[in-house]
Amino acid sequence: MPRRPLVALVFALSALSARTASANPMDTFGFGSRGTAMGGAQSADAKDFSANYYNPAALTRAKRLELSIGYFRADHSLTTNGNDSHVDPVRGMVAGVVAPGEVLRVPFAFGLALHLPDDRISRVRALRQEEPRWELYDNRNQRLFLVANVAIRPFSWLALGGGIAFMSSTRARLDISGTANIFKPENSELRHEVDADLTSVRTPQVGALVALSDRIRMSAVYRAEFKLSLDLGAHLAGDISGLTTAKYDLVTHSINNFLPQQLVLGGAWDLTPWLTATFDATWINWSAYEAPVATLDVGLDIPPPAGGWPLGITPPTVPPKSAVVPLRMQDRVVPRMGTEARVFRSGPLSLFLRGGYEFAKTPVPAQNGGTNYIDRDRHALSFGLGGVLVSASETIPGELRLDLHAQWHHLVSALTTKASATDLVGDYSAGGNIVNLGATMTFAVGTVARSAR
Amino acid sequence: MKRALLTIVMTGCATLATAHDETAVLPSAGIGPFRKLTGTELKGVAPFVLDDFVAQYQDPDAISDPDGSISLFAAATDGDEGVIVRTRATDGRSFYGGGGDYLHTPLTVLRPSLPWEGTRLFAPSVVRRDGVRWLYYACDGGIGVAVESGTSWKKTEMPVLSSSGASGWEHGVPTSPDAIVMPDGTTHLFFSSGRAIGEAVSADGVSFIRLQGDPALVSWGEGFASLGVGDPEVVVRVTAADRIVTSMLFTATDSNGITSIGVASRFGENGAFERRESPVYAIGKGERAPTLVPFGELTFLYLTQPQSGSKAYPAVAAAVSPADKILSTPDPFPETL
Repeated sequence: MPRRPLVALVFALSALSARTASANPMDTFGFGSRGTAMGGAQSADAKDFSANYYNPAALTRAKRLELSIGYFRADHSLTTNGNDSHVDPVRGMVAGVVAPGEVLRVPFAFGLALHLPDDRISRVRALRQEEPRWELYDNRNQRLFLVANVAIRPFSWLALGGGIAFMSSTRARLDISGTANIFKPENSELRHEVDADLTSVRTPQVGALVALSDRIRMSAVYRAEFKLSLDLGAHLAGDISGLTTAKYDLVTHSINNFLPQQLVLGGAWDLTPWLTATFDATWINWSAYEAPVATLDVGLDIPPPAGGWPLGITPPTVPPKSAVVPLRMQDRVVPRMGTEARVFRSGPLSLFLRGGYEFAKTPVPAQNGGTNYIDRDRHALSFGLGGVLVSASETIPGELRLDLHAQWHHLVSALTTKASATDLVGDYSAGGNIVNLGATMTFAVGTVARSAR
Repeated sequence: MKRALLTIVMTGCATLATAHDETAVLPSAGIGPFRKLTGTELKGVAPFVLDDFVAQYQDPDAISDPDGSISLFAAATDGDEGVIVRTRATDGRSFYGGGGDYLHTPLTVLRPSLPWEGTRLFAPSVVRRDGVRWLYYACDGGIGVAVESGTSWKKTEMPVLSSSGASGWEHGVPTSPDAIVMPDGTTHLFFSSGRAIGEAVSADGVSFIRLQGDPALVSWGEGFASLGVGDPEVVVRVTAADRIVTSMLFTATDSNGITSIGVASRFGENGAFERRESPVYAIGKGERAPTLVPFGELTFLYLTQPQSGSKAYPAVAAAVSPADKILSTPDPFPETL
């Protein structure tokens, strides 16, 4: 077998066998200002650190060693019945590196990328299924994104890439034992023990990039399913005021930050040397979604004291177990399109204008029953500016790039009507807007890599 | 590099549980679930807002005042008589008649004075018609009404609903009235009889006609309302989808005699009620006779609950919805009743 196909095969198998990753503030807000400005239609056009998210295979398009750093902030103005739902902003640093090179004379690139939120690394919430929440915006985007990728280009027309992202499941146990004095609480003697275990979770993503000609590229990307589980247990045991003993066991399990598997097919067409158009269609397997509702198992054993319970004291009882209503989302195809035009070029300086659009039809079914997972159809318009300054220095060759983006998401307002008049939430309207602003700076240093020639 | 990566990853693995933003105003039908008020949310002993061993306040009925405060009517004992009293709070919690003040008492607004009333008035229900408050009340002879006139209340000479003309399912004199003025201008009067709740309708608030057929609500199943339902409290709201929803809270009693507060609702002003299969307030303390009133983004639920001191006596307790809202410290008592 020729060496290049062999390397490609080995690489592809290793990438597929790795239980690795992807993440999800990027699904909504894009990654890096250039990609966001082009509506996220980047699987066939990414050529910087953002390829770590959009298509690992596109890492091979980097010309030099690149270091990128940026910041974005997305503010939600989502309302129900005209009242602000106070969905926290998603904000934080984005950063990444792309290092092109060769392995066994095969063009190769390594990439590492990070989205580091400002106010929290990750957040887990397990709300009651009846409690209204913006299911896709309230909590799922509050998380760190960390991914490492490698890519090769075994043929001049084909690049392959794959990577790993990391997160953690949480298991925790709380033990309380001792004596509780219900008549004089200050005399209680209780011992606490907390045991928390963070277990790494990895899921894979792989991508391919095919150059049909010098001006047309096609792409395919697969991102595997990803979910965080939260398992909490509590055990209470001891003596109550010398009256009786108590034993209480509670175990909860919930899924958070579920990211369904995705398949992206995309294309990019350099219409002219200064104008590029891109398109992505992302199939999202929302039907596999697991709602972040905790299942609860409770055990309670408090035998009555000799002579029965004192007057005025009613022993607690175990609340009836409520059934979790499955959230049956629908698979969706999300179209994205973008364009980039070089509008100015003079000497070492080039300026770019960018625009993009995305439409995400809500995968959440009508919430006319007891659950209240709020979502609405979303249109996203984006706009951006870019500047590239090429170094004329022979001692420090390279370029400096600055990209800015502004993105407006509009969630179409619509009514949710309840089938039951006894519903405790009732009918409501919901909709709103999200504004995402950010900038990314990239330093590309060194001579142009062979892999990019 | 590997160590640095591992450090970042493990830092990123930290997962922090956070409560929902308590300042967010989420959609709610305002009919529960409720939680009882705590000691930091009240001036007196939680969860009581009217609490007096002698007066034995009970059967509350709340109504919003034009100035944003809440007037609370209740039955009370005054010597050998059962009277109706009124008190007021700007925050829905600091009522004269609760703890924290010993110089003021609720104002007595109605006493028994007509032959058919007997010696005890109770279970007040206040509605506002054309800007004037109408006070429906229960007594020995049935259900009467008094209309506010300046600082006094003028009673009708005869009951607006009595055992005369009772439906076949009724047992004895109708009691525990709750009146409501519907969006179409009619007044609907709900009442307890036996272990069920009936409904009557009036165009003028005085001449009521019972709805024929089955009662509006009866006990059912083997759960929390298996033995009986009573003490109706009806509210009407128009939803975001411009639908009228009529909801009725009620005292539910199970086969062991344990009470809780249930709810039943219907779309529109008329028709059969749909029952909710679980209570909206159940603390196992003998809670009964609910009344609720919206207060900004909150809904207060007041109800009769025995105050269990050395001698148990009835008092009026309070609860709030949404249950996850933490209330600020209570306001000072109002300057006037």
